[in-house]
Amino acid sequence: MQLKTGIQRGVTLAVTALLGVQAGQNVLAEEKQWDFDSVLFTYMEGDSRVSDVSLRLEAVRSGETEEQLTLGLSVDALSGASPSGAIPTHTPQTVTTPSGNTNVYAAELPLNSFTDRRIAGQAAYLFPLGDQNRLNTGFTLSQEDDYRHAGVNASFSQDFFDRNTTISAGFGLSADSIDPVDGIPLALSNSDLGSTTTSAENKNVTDLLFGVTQILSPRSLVQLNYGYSSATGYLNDPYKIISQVNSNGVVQSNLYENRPDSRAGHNLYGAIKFDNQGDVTTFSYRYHSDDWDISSSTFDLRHRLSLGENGHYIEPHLRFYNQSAADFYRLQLPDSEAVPTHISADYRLAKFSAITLGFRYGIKGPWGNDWRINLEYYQQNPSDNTSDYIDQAGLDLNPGVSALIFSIGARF
Amino acid sequence: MKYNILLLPVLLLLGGCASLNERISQTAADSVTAATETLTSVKPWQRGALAQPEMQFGYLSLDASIDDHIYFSKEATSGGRSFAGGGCGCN
Repeated sequence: MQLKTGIQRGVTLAVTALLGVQAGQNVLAEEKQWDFDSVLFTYMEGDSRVSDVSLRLEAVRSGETEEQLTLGLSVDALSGASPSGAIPTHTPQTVTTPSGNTNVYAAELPLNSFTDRRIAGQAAYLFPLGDQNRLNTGFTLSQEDDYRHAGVNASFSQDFFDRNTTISAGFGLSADSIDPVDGIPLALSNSDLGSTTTSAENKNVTDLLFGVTQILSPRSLVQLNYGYSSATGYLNDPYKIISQVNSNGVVQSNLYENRPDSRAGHNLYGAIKFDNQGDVTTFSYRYHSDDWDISSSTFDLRHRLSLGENGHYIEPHLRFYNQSAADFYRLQLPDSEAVPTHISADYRLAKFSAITLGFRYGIKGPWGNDWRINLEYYQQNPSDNTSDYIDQAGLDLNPGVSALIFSIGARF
Repeated sequence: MKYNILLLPVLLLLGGCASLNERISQTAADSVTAATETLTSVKPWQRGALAQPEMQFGYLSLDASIDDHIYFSKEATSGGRSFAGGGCGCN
């Protein structure tokens, strides 16, 4: 459609300029096809905790061959507060934040306030090696006020049996740097004293991914993946602390957490898609297990229901997640007990389940573009959130997280 | 009829929409039929439905990457579907 071509030419030039690509006009001259996707989303946690406003852009160039270039850019503005790990008590307590500020809490969850910005970019290039195989390479970069990431990845895929079966194997390497504004805290030290060690620490992650995709019928296909991930280096959260309490549950001190300096885990992932005369059902399941003794199961179900020839559709979404606790996770630590080498009260390492309910509505625009809006509600339900201590009676020691996610997306 | 069980939450989500419920019931039956078709080689000319964008596992990859990033930030485990799109010191 002429109008779509005009829009694509304009967006091509704008996005390639934004992404620093000089090939916009050449691309058009070579009659390559550019497709663009964009999403603006907001993430808001309950109780005025974390909020995020984010813009994501993706540009894909493809031609008559399988060759394909994908460029991505995302920008996030984060603010709010997240649980510090300190335990709530009825007795008013003073908690020192990593930046040295002190806050007094009584019968409420101690929080760390923050603001942060994140910008991330990625590029991927798909090379057809032959009629039945291809190589996909990519790199990722991201920058936050206190965190940097750089990664590369590559995967090879091979078709078999008249392209009814595709197997793939790949790896990813990343090198991250953690650089808190006030330095890296000394692990297991008293947070009130504010001891720091080096100004920055590093983390390296290696991922391996093996997969097979199989066409089951003219209307269904299945994907199975096995993934191995190994992380080494600084795996602590430099902002998380854990409370030492007396026999009544009154906080005596707060210590910076300390996690193992390595983690290796396995993922088994399976997904299946069915087409039912234009309606598409997608179900996936993931099982995870690692040497922090965390195991998890994730069930995800989507059903895209077409509402007619004009491209309208609705897509309800249901996700259920369940994880066990890390073997070094503790809600709090009695001061009569020796401090273990590895300990964390980060709520994300606790045992909990979570549910996501979502709903997407999509519509085709008048010029060949399409739009979608998405609304999701996420709720965590921790298993361990009470204690027998007198000073903590009736308090919710780990309320978990609830969040509302709204996004609007457009493809051209 | 385990696929009907899988579709039950969708039915509940759309409860109250009589015409949709009727259609989803048909959808559930079609899903079972599709899943039980003989696993034989599907020829290129039989792949009209499979060629649709929404039948690709990478469909709406931007939305999927957003979901992955949120869950990576709030849960202890991640990955499985693909490589991570970038690390973060998530709050």
